[in-house]
Amino acid sequence: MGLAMKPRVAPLLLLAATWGMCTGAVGACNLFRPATPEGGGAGVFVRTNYTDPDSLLATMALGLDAKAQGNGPDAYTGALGTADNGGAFSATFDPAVIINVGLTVAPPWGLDEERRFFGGFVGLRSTAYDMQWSPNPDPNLHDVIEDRHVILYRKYQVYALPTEGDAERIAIGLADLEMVSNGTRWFLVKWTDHVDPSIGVTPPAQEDKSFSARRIDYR
Amino acid sequence: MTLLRRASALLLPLLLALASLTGPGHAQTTSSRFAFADTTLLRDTLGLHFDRLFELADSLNLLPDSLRALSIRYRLRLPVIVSMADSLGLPVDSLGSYILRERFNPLSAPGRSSTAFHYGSTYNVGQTSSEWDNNSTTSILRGPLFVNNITTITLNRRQSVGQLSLLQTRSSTTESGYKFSPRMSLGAQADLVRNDSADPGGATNRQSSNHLQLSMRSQQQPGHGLNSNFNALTGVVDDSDPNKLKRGLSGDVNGRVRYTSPWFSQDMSGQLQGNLARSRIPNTQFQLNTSDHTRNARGTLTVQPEPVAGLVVNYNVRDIVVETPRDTVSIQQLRTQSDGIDATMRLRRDSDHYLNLTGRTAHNRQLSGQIFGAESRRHDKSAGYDARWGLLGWTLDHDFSLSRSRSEFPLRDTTGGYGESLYVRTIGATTSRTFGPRLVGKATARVTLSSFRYFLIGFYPTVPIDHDQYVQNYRVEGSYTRSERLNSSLALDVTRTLLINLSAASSAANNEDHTYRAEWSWTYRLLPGLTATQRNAVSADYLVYANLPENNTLALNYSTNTQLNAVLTPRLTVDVIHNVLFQPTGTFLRQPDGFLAFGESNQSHNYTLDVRIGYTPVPSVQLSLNPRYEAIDRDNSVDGVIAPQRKTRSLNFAGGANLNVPLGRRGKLTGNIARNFRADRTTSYSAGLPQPSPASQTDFWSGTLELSWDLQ
Repeated sequence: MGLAMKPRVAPLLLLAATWGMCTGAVGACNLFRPATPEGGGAGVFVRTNYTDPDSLLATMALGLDAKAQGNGPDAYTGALGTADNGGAFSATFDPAVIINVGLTVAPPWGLDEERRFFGGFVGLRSTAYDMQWSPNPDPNLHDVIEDRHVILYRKYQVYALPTEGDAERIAIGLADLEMVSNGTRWFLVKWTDHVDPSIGVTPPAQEDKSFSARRIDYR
Repeated sequence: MTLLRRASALLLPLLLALASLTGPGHAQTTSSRFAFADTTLLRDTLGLHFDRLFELADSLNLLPDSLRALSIRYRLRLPVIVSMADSLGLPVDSLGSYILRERFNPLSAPGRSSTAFHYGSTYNVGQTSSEWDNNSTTSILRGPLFVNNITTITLNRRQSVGQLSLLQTRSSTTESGYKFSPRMSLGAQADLVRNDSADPGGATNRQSSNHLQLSMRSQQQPGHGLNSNFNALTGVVDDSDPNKLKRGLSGDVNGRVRYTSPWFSQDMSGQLQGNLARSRIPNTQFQLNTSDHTRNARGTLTVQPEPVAGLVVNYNVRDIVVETPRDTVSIQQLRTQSDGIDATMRLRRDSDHYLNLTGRTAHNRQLSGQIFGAESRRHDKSAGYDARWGLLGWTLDHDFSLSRSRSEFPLRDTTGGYGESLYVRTIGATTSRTFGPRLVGKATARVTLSSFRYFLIGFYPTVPIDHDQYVQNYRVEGSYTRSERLNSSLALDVTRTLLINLSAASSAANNEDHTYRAEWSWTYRLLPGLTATQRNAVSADYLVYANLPENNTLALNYSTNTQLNAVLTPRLTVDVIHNVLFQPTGTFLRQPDGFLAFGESNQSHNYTLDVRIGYTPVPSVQLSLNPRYEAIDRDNSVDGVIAPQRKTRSLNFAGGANLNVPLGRRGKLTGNIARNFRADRTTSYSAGLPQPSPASQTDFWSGTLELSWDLQ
């Protein structure tokens, strides 16, 4: 029996040895060896969590707070759906903002545009940022919660935090956020933006702009 | 049967706590290579059968679901698809577009007099959207005179967060003319398109495009094995949308040449299309000269001197330019250019011994309109091989590929952008073997290393970080078939993923992810007509941050899916499906004593119970009832104590019918329609106190109905 098994085991051992050599586990082949990082382990780190809708929003806020440092941009844009994952992200604009800036048509807004907006918006102020989510104050709006699909009604505010003096609000608005899950994580697929009625399209404080207006600034 | 009915009545309450559906295709997959294939693909649809799907797809080098989708889309059985592709000398996945194109080619119409008319109407409705699609195709031939028309009207309504979005598309293409001979025709073509959309997030958008052209179509057969066609169209164009009005002259010249011989075949097609127009922005008077053009050429060279070796080379070149007035004095140009070539050499002894060598290179350039002058470029090249070799009862599948791509986005912003260099190496191997008549084993290994490197172009604040992504996956699975009544499979899967940021300033995020997963499933036919299936999975996902161990995360996942599938009578079926999913997540730290301590931060429980009852009074109609209950609990850690965060309960009850009804000799009504009643309530918790929201109740129609009518 032992003799009979030998011809069957030998090809497997040869296969395993070949595999080990090809993948760098054995020998000197570097083709499948990742690069060695610089030492230090420094930098801003945003712990991403897209496993439920609330965590997704918290991760986006932390990503925006990190600005261009560390994995901040990836944490923010990683929340957004793509054609392959959840469905392509899109954002729409408050029609009043479109008219206010003199456009006839709202520009199409997807992942690339949101990435560009992020890069521009985090450079608006050199100080630290703080993004906050809170429920939409309209008592008639109730979140739609389904197994793999939710619509959350939220208010957002972004503050620039100078090292001295008061925080300056640089964005405020309302968002209807549609998310889908692939069973493992959630994706933001649609951001329907509204001007906060208490602020208006032409806010008394010049920087109290909605994301509709901010996105158009960086289109 | 009486015993079965009594037993089923008694069993039904028990079944509600379990659940199931069997994979009906197990008996159809005999080879060890297909022992783990997705057998749900084999279920019959619309009277089509998918016998030998996996073997056929394997030999055609196609994905099984792609081949199945082709069969359903064109309502053709698999042997018909293969024999048509063979006789036309086309790849199988090009057959559909060829059929559509030739259906309205006046030179391909047979006979002296014929009338063909097809009308199809599809209504697709869901909770938040509906789509009504109407299409008709007409083809009339009377001696040398012909008229062809394709008309499509699509009305789409989407309810999104309390607001209604509308999208309406109408298009009509009509061509009429005179066939001077079986090889040439002259005529006129009208191509009219209207798009209307209204979205709450944007202004109303209306677009129209009108093309009126004279047409000349010809086909030639100058020699044995050589055939070609050449078409020319010229006329006027009138396009309008909110950004531009464009009126002028248009032209389109296209052709195709195909040569086949026993040794090789060569298929080439080309198109030159464009317009010269006077364009202006709406509500302005200044007009600018614009010209749009599309140049497109592609071909396939197939060399097959012997059945054991072959070479396929595909090549393409494309250049598209669209000009629109940017303001009253300048023109914005959108340009897309691409070219590429790929080659595959196939060396084949039989279906268990072959080697495919592949190579590809491609360039893309895109001048986009968002930022003036912003052009993105991409260059891809790749090489690799895949091989299969059977030896001493083992089958070894092996693949290896190297691909490099370089992308440049010089103007991500008005000040600059960045470029990306990506180098991906992949190696994989699968070995499988049958051990006696009942046991099949399979082992899979795969390693992928992707190196992302970035460089700055001009000034740009958020250039991505240089990083490597390494994925290593090993899977061992075994399938045991005790008899036709009982089979079971077990799989163990280990994945290691590394994310490595190279610079010290961003290496805090470097992490290593280990995922361990075990799956066990079994299917048992309890009685004739009653089958139970259960799938169990356990996984643990350890995410380790070497530099920030306080962020280490452990995610556990336990799931059980139990299904019972009962055929109570030939006309009555009951499926009961029960799902349990438990997902605790938290941090973990290695303690001084060496043990890992798990600090749970949240957990979720999902339970669903789904019952599907189908009654088929006549073969063309199936009535269905589908009650579904779902409970989702999510708990969160508050001050180290797990407390409820949200509870959702929902009940959905759907009743409807599946139809495949002939309407006379020429019509057919197919699809499904159901009325859904849904009630759900969510209770959120704040500081441990419930904040219930009102129960919501909705009822809506869902499904797709398709009415088709043919006159031949």
